Amino acid sequence: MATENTQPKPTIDWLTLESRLLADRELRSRFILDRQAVAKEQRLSPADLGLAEQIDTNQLEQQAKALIDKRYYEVAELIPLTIQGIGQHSRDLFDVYAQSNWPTGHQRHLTDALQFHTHLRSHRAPGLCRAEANRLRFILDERRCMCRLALDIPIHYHTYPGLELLWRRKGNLHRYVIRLALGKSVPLTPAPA
Amino acid sequence: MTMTGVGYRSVLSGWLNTQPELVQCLEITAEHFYDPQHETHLQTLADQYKTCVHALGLSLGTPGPLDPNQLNQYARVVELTDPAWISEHISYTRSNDVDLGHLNPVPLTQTYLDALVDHTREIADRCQKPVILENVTAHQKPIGDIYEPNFISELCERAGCGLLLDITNLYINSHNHHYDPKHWLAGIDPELITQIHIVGYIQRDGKLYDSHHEPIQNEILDLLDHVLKTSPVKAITLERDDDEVTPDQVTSELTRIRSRLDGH
Repeated sequence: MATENTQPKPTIDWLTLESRLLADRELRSRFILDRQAVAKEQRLSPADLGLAEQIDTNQLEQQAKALIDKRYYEVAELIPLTIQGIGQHSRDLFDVYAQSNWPTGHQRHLTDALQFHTHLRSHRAPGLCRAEANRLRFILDERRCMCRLALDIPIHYHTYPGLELLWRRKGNLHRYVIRLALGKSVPLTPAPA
Repeated sequence: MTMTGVGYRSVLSGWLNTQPELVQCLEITAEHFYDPQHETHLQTLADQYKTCVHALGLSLGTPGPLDPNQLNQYARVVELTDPAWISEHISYTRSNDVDLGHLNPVPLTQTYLDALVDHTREIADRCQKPVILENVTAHQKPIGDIYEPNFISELCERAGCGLLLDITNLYINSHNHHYDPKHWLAGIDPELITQIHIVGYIQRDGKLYDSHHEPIQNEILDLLDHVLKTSPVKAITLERDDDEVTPDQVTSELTRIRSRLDGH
């Protein structure tokens, strides 16, 4: 009689394996070296073994890179000052974060941007813009209003220390900033779009 | 008469409020309006324009049930806008394990054809609107044992849907994967093509990419001419996605599209 320990484990289809390969660089690297071994390890359905043999691994790698590139582009649009602040390694830093973080839902880009910001903060990365994270939290938490102190609130082409009030009215986001005499303003270069 | 139009982007909202003559149809990306706070604005757009509603994240190619939350939100946007038709993609964005967040080509096999057919019928039944499906671009050439035009043709026949031909995606794929786009089109019934997406591409290291930021290249307009010879397309949508696009740039592009249309 079959027991729970001897029940055959369910197999997965090719699309499930492909999605794992696209999301997991380490798994993808092992697949490129030995497709059959990874297919067996991942319990790919025998019916889909032919697809594992067909896939062009160079193209798979390009597709995986493109997925991260698209995420980075969206995140850079949402936290431009943070991306500018962390400098030329922002794409590499995002790559490290993105390999193990795949947000879901229709607000995934906002979540991605906030989680990346949090990831950078946890690694004590310099150059982060806290005001950008505050704004993302406000949108994602669906709050009606929020008041936050930040040292880097963007106003025109500078950032200022101040108290930022965010609120919603008729579906639109509004903000009011009280600048505080806590320090100097910092010019933004280049000026943001 | 074939309509011209754009996909709604907030950077163009002021200009769209003036109801420019060249924008006869407005494509609404459903996910941009899932938050209830956007409902009033959505209804205003639907009052101003003939609309079609386009989704990105239903992942019709993934076997198994559709995400009920996403489907409910999509249906709500459709209900609020009362579009002429609704659309999604011949692709997948997620599996049970991970949400990849962007469009990936489905394997061209019976399994995934069946999933697409079932899911297309499901959203048609749920939304009570005609459905059209869009071809996607990808670095991966689709794998499987069915020739892509045959796959699309059988999908449309079994699901009772039409085709949203992204002519730029077709051009990009044909260049990157080395095939003749006109030969590919010959495998598609022209009557299936309800709407066309069009925009320029970028080129890097010999490969083409869908940046959605560039003016339409003449070779893509030439391919559009080829399609318009035989296909009774209802709408052509310019897909400029960049936040810096100006009304003048969009007007210029729509004018170029209209001049090609007037030649048929």
